[in-house]
Amino acid sequence: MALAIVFALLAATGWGTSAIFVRLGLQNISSTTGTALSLATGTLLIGAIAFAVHGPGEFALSFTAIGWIALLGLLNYLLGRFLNFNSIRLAGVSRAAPLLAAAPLVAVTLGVLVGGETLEPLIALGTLIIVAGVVLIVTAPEQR
Amino acid sequence: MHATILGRLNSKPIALGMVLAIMAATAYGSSQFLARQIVTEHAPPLVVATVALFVGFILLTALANKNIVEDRHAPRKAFLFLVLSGIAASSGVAFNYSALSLAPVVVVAPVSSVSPLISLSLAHFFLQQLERITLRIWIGAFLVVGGVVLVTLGSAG
Repeated sequence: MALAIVFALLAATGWGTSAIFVRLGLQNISSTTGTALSLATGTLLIGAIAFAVHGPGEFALSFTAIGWIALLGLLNYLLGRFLNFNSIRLAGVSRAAPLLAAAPLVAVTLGVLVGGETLEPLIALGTLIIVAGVVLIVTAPEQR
Repeated sequence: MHATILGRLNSKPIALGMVLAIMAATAYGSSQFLARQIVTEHAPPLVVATVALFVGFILLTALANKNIVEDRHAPRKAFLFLVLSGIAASSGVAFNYSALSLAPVVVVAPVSSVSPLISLSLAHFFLQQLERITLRIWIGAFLVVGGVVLVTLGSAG
Protein backbone atom coordinates (compact mmCIF):
# COMPACT_ATOMS: atom_id res chain seq x y z
CA MET A 1 0.00 0.00 0.00
CA ALA A 2 2.89 2.37 0.82
CA LEU A 3 4.41 1.72 -2.59
CA ALA A 4 1.07 2.53 -4.24
CA ILE A 5 0.99 5.87 -2.44
CA VAL A 6 4.56 6.63 -3.52
CA PHE A 7 3.64 5.81 -7.12
CA ALA A 8 0.53 7.99 -6.87
CA LEU A 9 2.64 10.91 -5.61
CA LEU A 10 5.09 10.42 -8.46
CA ALA A 11 2.16 10.37 -10.87
CA ALA A 12 0.94 13.69 -9.44
CA THR A 13 4.43 15.15 -9.81
CA GLY A 14 4.65 14.03 -13.45
CA TRP A 15 1.26 15.48 -14.35
CA GLY A 16 1.85 18.69 -12.43
CA THR A 17 5.19 19.25 -14.17
CA SER A 18 3.73 18.36 -17.58
CA ALA A 19 1.19 21.17 -17.32
CA ILE A 20 3.97 23.75 -17.05
CA PHE A 21 5.80 22.43 -20.12
CA VAL A 22 2.52 22.36 -22.04
CA ARG A 23 1.84 26.01 -21.21
CA LEU A 24 5.30 26.97 -22.46
CA GLY A 25 5.23 24.78 -25.57
CA LEU A 26 1.75 25.69 -26.82
CA GLN A 27 2.65 29.35 -27.20
CA ASN A 28 4.06 28.51 -30.65
CA ILE A 29 2.49 25.19 -31.63
CA SER A 30 -1.12 24.09 -32.09
CA SER A 31 -2.63 21.92 -29.38
CA THR A 32 -3.19 19.01 -31.80
CA THR A 33 0.49 18.92 -32.78
CA GLY A 34 1.49 19.35 -29.16
CA THR A 35 -0.71 16.49 -28.06
CA ALA A 36 0.56 14.21 -30.83
CA LEU A 37 4.18 15.01 -29.99
CA SER A 38 3.52 14.42 -26.31
CA LEU A 39 1.86 11.06 -27.02
CA ALA A 40 4.63 9.96 -29.41
CA THR A 41 7.29 10.77 -26.84
CA GLY A 42 5.40 8.95 -24.14
CA THR A 43 4.81 5.87 -26.27
CA LEU A 44 8.51 5.56 -27.08
CA LEU A 45 9.66 6.14 -23.49
CA ILE A 46 7.12 3.92 -21.71
CA GLY A 47 7.29 1.30 -24.47
CA ALA A 48 11.06 1.01 -24.12
CA ILE A 49 10.75 0.60 -20.37
CA ALA A 50 7.91 -1.94 -20.74
CA PHE A 51 9.96 -4.02 -23.19
CA ALA A 52 12.97 -3.93 -20.88
CA VAL A 53 10.96 -4.90 -17.80
CA HIS A 54 8.47 -7.41 -19.25
CA GLY A 55 9.85 -8.49 -22.62
CA PRO A 56 7.82 -8.74 -25.85
CA GLY A 57 5.77 -11.71 -24.63
CA GLU A 58 3.59 -9.56 -22.38
CA PHE A 59 2.42 -7.61 -25.44
CA ALA A 60 0.64 -10.70 -26.81
CA LEU A 61 -2.78 -9.48 -25.65
CA SER A 62 -6.22 -11.00 -26.17
CA PHE A 63 -8.75 -9.23 -28.43
CA THR A 64 -10.79 -8.38 -25.35
CA ALA A 65 -7.81 -6.75 -23.67
CA ILE A 66 -6.88 -4.83 -26.83
CA GLY A 67 -10.45 -3.60 -27.13
CA TRP A 68 -10.57 -2.29 -23.57
CA ILE A 69 -7.11 -0.70 -23.84
CA ALA A 70 -8.11 0.95 -27.13
CA LEU A 71 -11.12 2.46 -25.37
CA LEU A 72 -8.78 3.62 -22.60
CA GLY A 73 -6.52 5.22 -25.19
CA LEU A 74 -9.46 7.02 -26.78
CA LEU A 75 -10.79 8.32 -23.47
CA ASN A 76 -7.55 9.26 -21.78
CA TYR A 77 -5.22 10.33 -24.55
CA LEU A 78 -7.27 11.40 -27.52
CA LEU A 79 -10.07 13.08 -25.59
CA GLY A 80 -8.54 13.70 -22.17
CA ARG A 81 -5.09 14.98 -23.07
CA PHE A 82 -6.31 16.91 -26.13
CA LEU A 83 -8.97 18.67 -24.06
CA ASN A 84 -6.41 19.14 -21.28
CA PHE A 85 -3.90 20.85 -23.56
CA ASN A 86 -6.54 23.10 -25.10
CA SER A 87 -7.90 24.05 -21.69
CA ILE A 88 -4.40 25.05 -20.53
CA ARG A 89 -3.81 27.01 -23.74
CA LEU A 90 -7.07 28.93 -23.40
CA ALA A 91 -7.52 29.32 -19.66
CA GLY A 92 -3.97 28.95 -18.37
CA VAL A 93 -2.53 26.52 -15.84
CA SER A 94 -3.86 28.39 -12.84
CA ARG A 95 -7.51 27.88 -13.90
CA ALA A 96 -7.33 24.61 -15.83
CA ALA A 97 -5.25 22.57 -13.38
CA PRO A 98 -7.62 22.82 -10.38
CA LEU A 99 -10.63 21.94 -12.54
CA LEU A 100 -8.77 18.94 -13.92
CA ALA A 101 -8.41 17.84 -10.30
CA ALA A 102 -12.10 16.91 -10.31
CA ALA A 103 -11.25 13.81 -12.39
CA PRO A 104 -11.15 11.49 -9.34
CA LEU A 105 -14.70 12.62 -8.53
CA VAL A 106 -15.83 11.09 -11.83
CA ALA A 107 -13.96 7.89 -11.00
CA VAL A 108 -15.64 7.69 -7.59
CA THR A 109 -19.05 8.47 -9.12
CA LEU A 110 -18.60 5.56 -11.52
CA GLY A 111 -17.72 3.41 -8.55
CA VAL A 112 -21.00 4.42 -6.92
CA LEU A 113 -23.20 4.08 -10.02
CA VAL A 114 -21.52 1.08 -11.64
CA GLY A 115 -19.98 -0.53 -8.57
CA GLY A 116 -23.14 -0.23 -6.49
CA GLU A 117 -21.58 1.78 -3.63
CA THR A 118 -23.74 3.91 -1.33
CA LEU A 119 -23.52 7.72 -1.04
CA GLU A 120 -21.81 8.41 2.27
CA PRO A 121 -22.08 11.77 4.15
CA LEU A 122 -18.38 12.47 3.53
CA ILE A 123 -18.99 12.09 -0.19
CA ALA A 124 -21.82 14.59 -0.12
CA LEU A 125 -19.74 17.05 1.93
CA GLY A 126 -16.75 16.61 -0.37
CA THR A 127 -18.94 17.26 -3.39
CA LEU A 128 -20.18 20.54 -1.92
CA ILE A 129 -16.60 21.63 -1.19
CA ILE A 130 -15.55 20.79 -4.74
CA VAL A 131 -18.39 22.88 -6.13
CA ALA A 132 -17.37 25.77 -3.86
CA GLY A 133 -13.78 25.54 -5.08
CA VAL A 134 -14.83 25.42 -8.72
CA VAL A 135 -17.08 28.44 -8.26
CA LEU A 136 -14.20 30.39 -6.66
CA ILE A 137 -11.89 29.63 -9.57
CA VAL A 138 -14.45 30.18 -12.33
CA THR A 139 -15.59 33.54 -10.97
CA ALA A 140 -12.08 34.89 -10.28
CA PRO A 141 -11.33 38.10 -12.25
CA GLU A 142 -9.02 37.63 -15.27
CA GLN A 143 -5.40 38.51 -14.41
CA ARG A 144 -2.43 38.22 -16.84
CA MET B 1 -29.38 28.34 -29.84
CA HIS B 2 -26.45 25.95 -30.25
CA ALA B 3 -24.64 28.46 -32.48
CA THR B 4 -25.33 31.26 -29.96
CA ILE B 5 -23.80 29.26 -27.11
CA LEU B 6 -20.73 28.39 -29.19
CA GLY B 7 -20.36 31.99 -30.29
CA ARG B 8 -20.45 33.24 -26.72
CA LEU B 9 -17.93 30.63 -25.62
CA ASN B 10 -15.55 31.45 -28.47
CA SER B 11 -15.60 35.13 -27.51
CA LYS B 12 -14.52 34.17 -24.00
CA PRO B 13 -11.49 31.92 -24.37
CA ILE B 14 -10.93 31.55 -20.64
CA ALA B 15 -14.51 30.39 -20.10
CA LEU B 16 -14.14 27.97 -23.01
CA GLY B 17 -10.87 26.73 -21.54
CA MET B 18 -12.53 26.03 -18.22
CA VAL B 19 -15.37 24.12 -19.94
CA LEU B 20 -12.75 22.04 -21.75
CA ALA B 21 -10.95 21.43 -18.44
CA ILE B 22 -14.14 20.02 -16.92
CA MET B 23 -14.65 17.82 -20.00
CA ALA B 24 -11.05 16.62 -19.72
CA ALA B 25 -11.60 15.83 -16.05
CA THR B 26 -14.61 13.69 -17.03
CA ALA B 27 -12.56 11.81 -19.61
CA TYR B 28 -9.64 11.32 -17.20
CA GLY B 29 -11.89 10.16 -14.36
CA SER B 30 -13.67 7.62 -16.56
CA SER B 31 -10.36 6.31 -17.85
CA GLN B 32 -8.95 5.93 -14.32
CA PHE B 33 -11.89 3.71 -13.38
CA LEU B 34 -11.42 1.71 -16.58
CA ALA B 35 -7.65 1.45 -16.08
CA ARG B 36 -8.12 -0.11 -12.65
CA GLN B 37 -10.19 -2.91 -14.22
CA ILE B 38 -7.66 -3.47 -17.03
CA VAL B 39 -4.45 -3.57 -14.98
CA THR B 40 -5.99 -5.97 -12.44
CA GLU B 41 -7.52 -8.35 -15.01
CA HIS B 42 -5.74 -8.15 -18.37
CA ALA B 43 -2.16 -6.84 -18.53
CA PRO B 44 0.71 -5.22 -16.54
CA PRO B 45 0.55 -1.43 -16.02
CA LEU B 46 3.49 -0.56 -18.29
CA VAL B 47 2.08 -2.68 -21.14
CA VAL B 48 -1.34 -1.08 -20.75
CA ALA B 49 0.22 2.39 -20.71
CA THR B 50 2.27 1.70 -23.86
CA VAL B 51 -0.61 0.31 -25.91
CA ALA B 52 -3.04 2.99 -24.73
CA LEU B 53 -0.58 5.79 -25.54
CA PHE B 54 0.05 4.29 -28.97
CA VAL B 55 -3.68 4.03 -29.73
CA GLY B 56 -4.18 7.64 -28.68
CA PHE B 57 -1.25 8.77 -30.83
CA ILE B 58 -2.51 6.93 -33.92
CA LEU B 59 -6.06 8.27 -33.53
CA LEU B 60 -4.95 11.85 -32.96
CA THR B 61 -2.42 11.84 -35.80
CA ALA B 62 -5.03 10.47 -38.18
CA LEU B 63 -7.41 13.28 -37.25
CA ALA B 64 -4.93 16.17 -37.09
CA ASN B 65 -2.18 15.46 -39.64
CA LYS B 66 -2.78 18.80 -41.43
CA ASN B 67 -2.01 20.80 -38.26
CA ILE B 68 1.10 18.73 -37.67
CA VAL B 69 2.43 19.59 -41.15
CA GLU B 70 1.72 23.31 -40.66
CA ASP B 71 3.55 23.38 -37.31
CA ARG B 72 6.79 21.90 -38.62
CA HIS B 73 8.44 25.38 -38.73
CA ALA B 74 7.67 26.20 -35.10
CA PRO B 75 10.63 27.16 -32.84
CA ARG B 76 12.73 24.26 -31.61
CA LYS B 77 12.21 25.35 -28.03
CA ALA B 78 8.46 24.69 -28.41
CA PHE B 79 9.13 21.14 -29.59
CA LEU B 80 11.53 20.61 -26.69
CA PHE B 81 8.93 21.76 -24.15
CA LEU B 82 6.33 19.41 -25.59
CA VAL B 83 8.73 16.47 -25.63
CA LEU B 84 9.44 17.20 -21.97
CA SER B 85 5.70 17.42 -21.37
CA GLY B 86 5.25 14.01 -22.97
CA ILE B 87 7.96 12.48 -20.81
CA ALA B 88 6.49 13.97 -17.63
CA ALA B 89 2.84 13.18 -18.43
CA SER B 90 3.48 9.63 -19.63
CA SER B 91 5.68 8.93 -16.62
CA GLY B 92 2.73 10.09 -14.54
CA VAL B 93 0.46 7.69 -16.40
CA ALA B 94 2.82 4.75 -15.88
CA PHE B 95 3.15 5.52 -12.17
CA ASN B 96 -0.63 5.93 -11.86
CA TYR B 97 -1.36 2.58 -13.53
CA SER B 98 1.28 0.97 -11.34
CA ALA B 99 -0.37 2.46 -8.26
CA LEU B 100 -3.80 1.23 -9.44
CA SER B 101 -2.42 -2.30 -9.79
CA LEU B 102 -1.44 -2.21 -6.12
CA ALA B 103 -4.35 -0.33 -4.51
CA PRO B 104 -8.00 0.57 -5.26
CA VAL B 105 -9.09 3.80 -6.94
CA VAL B 106 -10.35 5.26 -3.64
CA VAL B 107 -6.77 5.11 -2.27
CA VAL B 108 -4.87 6.20 -5.40
CA ALA B 109 -7.25 8.91 -6.60
CA PRO B 110 -6.95 11.34 -3.63
CA VAL B 111 -3.17 11.11 -3.56
CA SER B 112 -2.71 11.64 -7.28
CA SER B 113 -5.20 14.50 -7.19
CA VAL B 114 -2.60 16.84 -5.64
CA SER B 115 -1.11 17.43 -9.12
CA PRO B 116 -2.79 20.85 -9.54
CA LEU B 117 -1.09 22.08 -6.38
CA ILE B 118 2.24 21.09 -7.93
CA SER B 119 1.24 22.83 -11.17
CA LEU B 120 0.29 26.01 -9.33
CA SER B 121 3.50 26.00 -7.32
CA LEU B 122 5.63 25.58 -10.45
CA ALA B 123 3.56 28.15 -12.33
CA HIS B 124 4.12 30.62 -9.51
CA PHE B 125 7.90 30.23 -9.85
CA PHE B 126 8.34 29.73 -13.61
CA LEU B 127 5.36 31.34 -15.33
CA GLN B 128 5.11 34.66 -13.52
CA GLN B 129 5.27 36.56 -16.82
CA LEU B 130 2.37 34.57 -18.30
CA GLU B 131 0.05 34.06 -15.38
CA ARG B 132 -0.75 35.60 -12.05
CA ILE B 133 -2.11 33.30 -9.38
CA THR B 134 -4.26 35.13 -6.90
CA LEU B 135 -5.06 34.08 -3.35
CA ARG B 136 -8.60 33.34 -4.50
CA ILE B 137 -7.38 30.77 -7.05
CA TRP B 138 -5.10 29.19 -4.45
CA ILE B 139 -8.03 28.85 -2.04
CA GLY B 140 -10.22 27.43 -4.81
CA ALA B 141 -7.55 24.89 -5.75
CA PHE B 142 -7.16 23.74 -2.16
CA LEU B 143 -10.93 23.43 -1.80
CA VAL B 144 -11.18 21.30 -4.94
CA VAL B 145 -8.39 19.00 -3.84
CA GLY B 146 -9.71 18.85 -0.25
CA GLY B 147 -13.17 18.02 -1.52
CA VAL B 148 -11.85 15.25 -3.73
CA VAL B 149 -9.97 13.76 -0.78
CA LEU B 150 -13.14 13.78 1.34
CA VAL B 151 -15.17 12.16 -1.44
CA THR B 152 -12.74 9.37 -2.02
CA LEU B 153 -12.25 8.75 1.69
CA GLY B 154 -16.01 8.65 2.10
CA SER B 155 -16.35 6.11 -0.67
CA ALA B 156 -13.95 3.86 1.16
CA GLY B 157 -16.09 3.94 4.32
